[in-house]
Amino acid sequence: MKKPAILIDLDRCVGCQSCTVVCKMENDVELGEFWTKVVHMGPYGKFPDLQMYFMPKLCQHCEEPSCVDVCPTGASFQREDGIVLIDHNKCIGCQFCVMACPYGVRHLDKRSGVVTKCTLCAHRIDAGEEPICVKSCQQRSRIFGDLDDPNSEISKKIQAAGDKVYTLTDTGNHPKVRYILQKADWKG
Amino acid sequence: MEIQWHLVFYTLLVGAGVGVFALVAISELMGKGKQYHMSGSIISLVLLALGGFASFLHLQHPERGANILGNFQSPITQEMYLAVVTGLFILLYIVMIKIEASTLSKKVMAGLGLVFGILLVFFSGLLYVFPARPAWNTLLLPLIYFTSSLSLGIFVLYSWIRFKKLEEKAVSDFAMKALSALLILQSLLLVGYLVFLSANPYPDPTRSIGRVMGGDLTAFFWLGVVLVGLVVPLFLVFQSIKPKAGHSLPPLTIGAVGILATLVGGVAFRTLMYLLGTTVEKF
Repeated sequence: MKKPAILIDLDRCVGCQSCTVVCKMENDVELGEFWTKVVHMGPYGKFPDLQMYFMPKLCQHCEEPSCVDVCPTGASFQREDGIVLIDHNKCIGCQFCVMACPYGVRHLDKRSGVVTKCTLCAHRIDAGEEPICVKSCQQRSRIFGDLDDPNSEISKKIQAAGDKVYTLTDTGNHPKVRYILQKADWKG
Repeated sequence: MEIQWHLVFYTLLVGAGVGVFALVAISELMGKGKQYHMSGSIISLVLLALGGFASFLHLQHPERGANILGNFQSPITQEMYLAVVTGLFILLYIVMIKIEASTLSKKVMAGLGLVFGILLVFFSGLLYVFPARPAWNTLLLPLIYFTSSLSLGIFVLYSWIRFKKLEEKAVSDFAMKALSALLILQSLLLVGYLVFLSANPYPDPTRSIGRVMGGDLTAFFWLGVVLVGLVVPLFLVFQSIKPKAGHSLPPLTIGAVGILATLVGGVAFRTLMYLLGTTVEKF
């Protein structure tokens, strides 16, 4: 079984926000809301030894998604390949999934009254394409692939980076997005 | 996240309804307070229904509510069934009073309503205990939900008893003792919550003790949660238990001010919870 995931090489990201913009265009994300965005980390340290990096954030498509566990209608669900999605025809807009997400990546779409978030561009993946944020990343910072395939680019990159591969804080949900950071100290 | 006002009032009203019924059920078990068993149970059901209505208003798509019914693994579905079962036991208790059923069957039904009600109130707070939101990730939170809403319910029934002059001294005394125990417990829980905030494993300025003890939420906490929600009701309770000669407050005043104070205090604590409820990671 394939395990599609995104790896983000933070050493390459320049914070251009093109992923943020194309994601909004591709997925018709509500004005003022985001499915992915790039957060500035730092600067840290003491002059002249300062560090900073750019941190793209998005739904982590967790292995044990707490948002799915709390959903009272089954609208939030996990596909067999691990992608976490929301069936908008079942969602009642109770927002308990928003409360249960440690990363704050879900929001209530006020236009439709349902909760929305990054789908990992499942519609594109199913058509054999990459998520739009990966395709449009001019720095090739985002890499999409199969975590279960040791020969995939994503698996090789993770292996090569050794202990410089990170995830966001794990509160028991096991986030799946991987981050590589070698040129600065990881601050989460 | 934004304050979910409907859920604030849902948890408070449901807890108040259970608080009213708790006093009815205990007096039933004690063999006292026959005059207000029926009216108290009806008040309890009305409060539960109002809470249910607040919860209904919270939903963006209530027309899809039927999707909840079969999803037993979700704690929200479990809570809904718990609320229905509690309401059902209270309703059955009312029916038993109406048909003048045996004392034993009334006691059993009152006891069942009490047990399920207590579970419901605790569970309705437990739903918010998420590792995702460090300021919520403690059992102190459902316990404070429990004490604050039950106190409100007991003040409601106390006021009703006094208003209708259905006074039975033993029950009124018991109500005041229960209130004092709940409110003292709540003050200890609040101290515990402040300690919890200061020792949180995921520290962040948005959910820090500093916001409550010297930051933008200080006035809100001390005035709303502590002064109005705790000190005023405790003062009223002690006034009722040991009135000072020449300075005693009329019972109806104690009841009415008590309702108002515990209502404001309950809303204030729940609001504080949302204001501190930021996620582990910022987005």
